[in-house]
Amino acid sequence: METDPESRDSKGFRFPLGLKLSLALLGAGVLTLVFLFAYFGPSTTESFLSRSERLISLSSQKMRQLVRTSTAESSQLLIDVIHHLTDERRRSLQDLPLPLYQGDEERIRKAIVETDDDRGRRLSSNVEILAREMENRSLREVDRRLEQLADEQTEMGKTFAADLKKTYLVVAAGVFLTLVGFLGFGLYQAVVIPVRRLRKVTQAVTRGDLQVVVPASSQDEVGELSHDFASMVMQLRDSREAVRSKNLELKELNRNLSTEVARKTEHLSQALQDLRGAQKQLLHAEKMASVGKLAGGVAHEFNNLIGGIRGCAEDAMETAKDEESRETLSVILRAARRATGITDQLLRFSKQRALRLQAVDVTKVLDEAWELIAADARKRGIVLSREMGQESPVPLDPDALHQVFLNLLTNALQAMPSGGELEVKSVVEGGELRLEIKDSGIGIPDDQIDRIFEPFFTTKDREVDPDLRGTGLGLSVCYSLVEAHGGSIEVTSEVGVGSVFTISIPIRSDGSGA
Amino acid sequence: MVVRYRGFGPVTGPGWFLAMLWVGLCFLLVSPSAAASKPRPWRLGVLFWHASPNDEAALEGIRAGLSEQEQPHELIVRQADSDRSKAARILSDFREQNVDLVFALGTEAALLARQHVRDIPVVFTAVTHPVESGVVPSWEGSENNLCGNSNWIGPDTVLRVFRLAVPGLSRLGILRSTESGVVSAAELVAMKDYLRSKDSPSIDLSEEIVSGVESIQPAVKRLIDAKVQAIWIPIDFFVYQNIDEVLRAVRPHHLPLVSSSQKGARKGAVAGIMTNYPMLGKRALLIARGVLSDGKRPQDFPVGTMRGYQVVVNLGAARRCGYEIPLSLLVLADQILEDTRDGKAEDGN
Repeated sequence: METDPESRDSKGFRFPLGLKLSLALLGAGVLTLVFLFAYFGPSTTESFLSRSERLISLSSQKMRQLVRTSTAESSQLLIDVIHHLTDERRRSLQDLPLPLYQGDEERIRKAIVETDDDRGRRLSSNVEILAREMENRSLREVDRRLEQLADEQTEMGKTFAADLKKTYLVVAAGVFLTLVGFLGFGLYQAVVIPVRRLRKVTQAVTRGDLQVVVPASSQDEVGELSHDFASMVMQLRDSREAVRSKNLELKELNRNLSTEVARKTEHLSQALQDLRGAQKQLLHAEKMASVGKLAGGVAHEFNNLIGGIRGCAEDAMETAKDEESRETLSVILRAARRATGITDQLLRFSKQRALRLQAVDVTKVLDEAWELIAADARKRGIVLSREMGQESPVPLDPDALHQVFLNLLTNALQAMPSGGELEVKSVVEGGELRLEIKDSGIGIPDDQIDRIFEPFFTTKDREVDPDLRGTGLGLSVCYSLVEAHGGSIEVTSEVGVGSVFTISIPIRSDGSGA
Repeated sequence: MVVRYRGFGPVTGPGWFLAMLWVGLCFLLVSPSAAASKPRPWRLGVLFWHASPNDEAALEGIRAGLSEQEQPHELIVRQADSDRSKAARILSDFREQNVDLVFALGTEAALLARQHVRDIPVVFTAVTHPVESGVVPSWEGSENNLCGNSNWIGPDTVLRVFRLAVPGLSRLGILRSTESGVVSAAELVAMKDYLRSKDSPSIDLSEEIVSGVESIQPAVKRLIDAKVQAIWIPIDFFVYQNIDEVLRAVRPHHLPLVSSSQKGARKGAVAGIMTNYPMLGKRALLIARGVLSDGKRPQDFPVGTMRGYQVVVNLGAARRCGYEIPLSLLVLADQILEDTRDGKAEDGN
């Protein structure tokens, strides 16, 4: 960034722009006025003199015309009067009663003279009136002519005034236009050109080019503006450098901060997710524990009572004679055995029974469980496919595993009343056994999937199919048995597609289960 | 009678004595017979129908003529005050007074004299149109004891004056009343006949007849709508009496009135034309002299008319209606009337 040193360093006489323009306009105005008056002045004076001469000539013509007209009229009047008097005298003489005078010439002459005198008296008596009237009319005529002359003079004066006005307008317009021209030229030179240069510099600065050179200008307001602008550009350049440096530091800080925040946020999110999972599992575990404790207590008491009922019923069966009683007792025994089964499941759920861990062939246990329901599966058109990944036995409670398989496979069959595919996968990975039972059944609605491991909760429609009637304890027992092994059981399901139950059981390092 | 001798030289000496003697003898011989043949004075009855300046001017002419010819006379002047029975009584008195001749001044007086006087010569004068008014059967004269002259002025003369008053006159309006009588009717007939003649100027006439004061303004408006340049007031006493109503209607339009009578001009027309009434009276006396002295019969005289006329210009009336009378008429006027302080016209005399 540079400026003209001559401009920046000049501290001489300051010549303001207004003073420059004023002097230029004054000079232009004076020159224009001198030129226009020199051009129009003589013609205006000549026009005035010409009009005055014309006015005098016109007045003279009017007066001459008036005199000629008056003379002609007077002459005509005289002729008319003479003719009239002659004619009237002739007629008067004809009217004279001459016979009255009996040829007396004297009397006739006297009568004629009297007639003439009478006429003379009448006419002379009119002269005064006539003279007054003629005077009045002449004066009126003169007044009328003078008025005409005055009107023409006024009209001529108006015309001259209008011409003069036009001249003034032309002069004024010339002066004005010249002044405007000078003003425009002065403004162009003094303002527009420097401003254009300054604008180019401004555009360069706007584009970010702070190395541009601000051109030197005159010692006036525009020059001062250029100088100030140059100073401003220099300050901008310094400021931009400072800002650029600070900006780099800030960007670095920002980048570090963003990384840290992302990392913390991820940690927090993971921790929150873990916490939520733990909280959920804890709640579910507490809930299951409470339910299991309650169910265990109730099942223990009911199991004792049912044992009593069952013993009594078996004794009565042995002693019963009639068929009807035996039939009744048979019903009681079946109910008691079913009740025993229920209480047994409840006891399993409540983990009232201790696990008997041993090396278990998972595939064999699966086959045993499948045999129990294979007939039903064939009847329903369900095909079992399995992919067993473990090679060595796993330390588990075989009864518990059998019960888990049986419950899950039974549920899968019931979920596929019109047939489908059933897949069972097993794999040992990451120090745990993972089992996956997948069906293509009706699926579990989302509003029910969180409750399916609760005891006595069932999704089976009891009204529709009483055979499918469940106790709501199957999955609860599964959950309880898997948890007893230190594992977990999860389910994902989609209505109309099917469900997948995944069981994870940790394998102890010593080769035993949980 | 005065006899003058001229062309004789001076008479002196014995000649003078003889001459005086001769004259004295002649006087003695002649004077008794002269006294015995001196004509008795004319006894003349003069009948006015009513007071009229024109009739009085004519009477003045009669008086002047009698005086000029030194005719002994006795004038018995009576006015009927527009009363027919009184006029009849006056004429009866004239007969009883053995008048030699009766002067009937004006049309009404002439008609009454024609009716009531059969055995005495009657000389009428100042009768505008004696034929149309029935005074005489024709301008050639009567067949009885009536004779006289008229103040009639021909339409060519009247129109000449009108054209002087209104230069370029080409459309002339006429305003008269249903009561105008035979005189104005005769004027109109004569004017229309004249305008139909070949030598007459081309002038259109528009006539309006009024029957009451209220009809004057609409009639004048119709004439103005017909774009007449002047309105002619013929001899019509109804219009004369209501001339102010006519003037009110024409003044806003600066339309001049012209009249064929002195009275019309005096009432408000800018110009009028009239005969020389004193001369007319003298000419009536000339007729009377022919009857009384020359032994002529009245029926031997045609109705006399005048060659000359007099123009009356009412300058005041012209000023009031904003009309400027041409100087060519003004210088020829026999009488110029101007307004007096009370607004009435008076002549220059």
